Amino acid sequence: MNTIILQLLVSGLAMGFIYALVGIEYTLIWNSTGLLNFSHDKLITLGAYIFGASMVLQYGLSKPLAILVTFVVMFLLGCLVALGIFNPLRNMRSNIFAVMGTIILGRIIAEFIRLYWGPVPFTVPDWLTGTFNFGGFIVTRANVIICGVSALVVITLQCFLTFTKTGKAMRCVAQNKKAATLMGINVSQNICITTGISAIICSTIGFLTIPLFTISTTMAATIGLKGFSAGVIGGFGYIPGVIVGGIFIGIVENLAVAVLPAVYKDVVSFALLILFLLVKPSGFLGKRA
Amino acid sequence: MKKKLVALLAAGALVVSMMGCGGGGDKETASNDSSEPTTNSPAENTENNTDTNSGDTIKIGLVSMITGDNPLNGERMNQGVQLAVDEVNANGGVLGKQVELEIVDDQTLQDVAVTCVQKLAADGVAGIIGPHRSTNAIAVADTVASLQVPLLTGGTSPSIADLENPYLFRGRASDSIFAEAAADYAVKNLGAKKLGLFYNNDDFGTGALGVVQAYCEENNIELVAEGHNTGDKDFTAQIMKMQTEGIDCALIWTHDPELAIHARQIYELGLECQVVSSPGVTMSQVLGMVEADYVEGWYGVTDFVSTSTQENVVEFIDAFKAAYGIEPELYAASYYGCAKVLLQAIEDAGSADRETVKEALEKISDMTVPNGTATCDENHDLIHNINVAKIENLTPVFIESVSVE
Repeated sequence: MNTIILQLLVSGLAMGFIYALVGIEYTLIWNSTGLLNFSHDKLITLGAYIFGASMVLQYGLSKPLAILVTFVVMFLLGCLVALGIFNPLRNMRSNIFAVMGTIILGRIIAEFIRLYWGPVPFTVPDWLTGTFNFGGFIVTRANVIICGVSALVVITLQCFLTFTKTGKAMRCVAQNKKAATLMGINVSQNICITTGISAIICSTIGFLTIPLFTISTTMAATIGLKGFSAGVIGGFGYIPGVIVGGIFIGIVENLAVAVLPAVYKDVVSFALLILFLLVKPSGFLGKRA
Repeated sequence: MKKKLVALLAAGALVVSMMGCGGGGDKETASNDSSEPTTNSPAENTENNTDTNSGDTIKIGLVSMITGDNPLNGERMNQGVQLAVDEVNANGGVLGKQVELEIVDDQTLQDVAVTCVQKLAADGVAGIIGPHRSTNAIAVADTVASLQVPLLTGGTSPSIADLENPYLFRGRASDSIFAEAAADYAVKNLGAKKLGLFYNNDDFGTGALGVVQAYCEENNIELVAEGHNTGDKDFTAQIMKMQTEGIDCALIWTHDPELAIHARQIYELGLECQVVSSPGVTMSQVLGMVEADYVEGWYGVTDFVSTSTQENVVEFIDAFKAAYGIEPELYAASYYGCAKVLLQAIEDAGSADRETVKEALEKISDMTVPNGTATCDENHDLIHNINVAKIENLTPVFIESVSVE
């Protein structure tokens, strides 16, 4: 029984980190524009396809180089999304315009993926596969790497936001756009950079989940939604909160299936979402209610 | 801020639910929705039918899934049916007329499937092939009956036969046959004493659950069943429970992405047992997503094995390869079979009149198609046999054909 709990804890932790990354990726955009990017799960999928299908399998690049190229492509694409949707639509009378914009963008990306790479799901051979065996207790390599890389992303992002000029400007825009403009910060350009960084994180989630989910057009649908729950539970719009929320959901939903039938796993995380919206809408660490 | 967030989330959820995830729960709504436009249709339908007969071509319809959750399966459906139509046309067509195929996309959504069927019926097709998903086939059942147009589906849920719909036919073996054959193979050929069943919590998986439960009760076999949902990505809990229970053979009944993840996790977590799986594992869709070690030695029950040596299957495979440059799989083969059966029925009926085609379909017997021998029974099921295949180095190897009553 103990092995089961431990096993569930480890895979829960890894999934939790993935939810946290999803949370971070859209929180950045939420903070900078006040809008939600509903195409984020498709950007995750797109990152995985660019890396797996084009860079590694088609062009045969080495994996580190493939990751770098994917980052560049996704960053530019993120900027394009900001230029095409967030910047022109964020000042419209209602948020629904920008929201619809991102939803339709998601649809376009999904169909583009299907037309360009085809509908056949596939995987990248020997990418993060294998297991570590600690005296009968098995941890998959993918889970360990997910935890490590996610932690690295979180730390890098915090350093970037705290110590660089662009990062400080991003925080400034998140707090008050008008004041930021008055201080000489180019808000539109800043939103471009933020969306680009968010797209890079999306592609990171894409690489990391390839061994777990395999590459398919619908690979990120569930984690996209769980990422939203992570934000609400941890504290919407607050990055440390999102991380706590993500890890919390990952672990709780996994441990819950030790006592509940496993089909209720999703019910657990979405019930938590509703519970938090009703009882503590600011989340664990949320500052703004 | 909070209000804004809730409003945004709600708006997003609403739009996403409208566009994306079709669940089993929509069935009733879909058939209710369909009742209104269909009331006027029979008259219109007869009119169109006359059109079909008087024209230079005979039109048949295909409700495929070109976009949505299963685009690949939809593409194979289109290719299989198109190949059958092309072959028939090359041999002079049906009743001396060329056959025209109209393909519509149901996006794997129930309500869209209903609209698709209405469109095809209005366009004057002699018969319809698809939709594929069982839930979609059930959703269109009422429409099909009120429009009086024969429809062949590849949906395998046992509940399709329960509808007793006179216009609904099935061109693949029912799940009850598959699941029973899988359990039977595990117990009789692999010597399983304690079965574990990983099932998808939808119509497809729970249908199998019912059949396997009944089989195990009847034969005094111990059964441990663990469910999961479509879209789940982690099955550690289920696999660990099976390990603790000490099962000696696992049956896995789920869709392709979940099946691939099961394969990986069962291998990684070291669950040591024989595995008999639902048809997915014999197809490139799943085999392309797993490493060879994950599924080595697994068994799969399926309608169609591409390594079969039966003469008609080899012919079909060669023709399909020549046309599209790829190996056909289950969807291509089953829907090729459906199309062949429908076109044969039109030929037998001597006219493209839907009622006569329906009667001819009921009389189809001992017709060889790539996925078996088609004989229509009182449930309108055409196929009654399945194949067992073993996976060796990512290739399904034909083991035997099992016939079930």
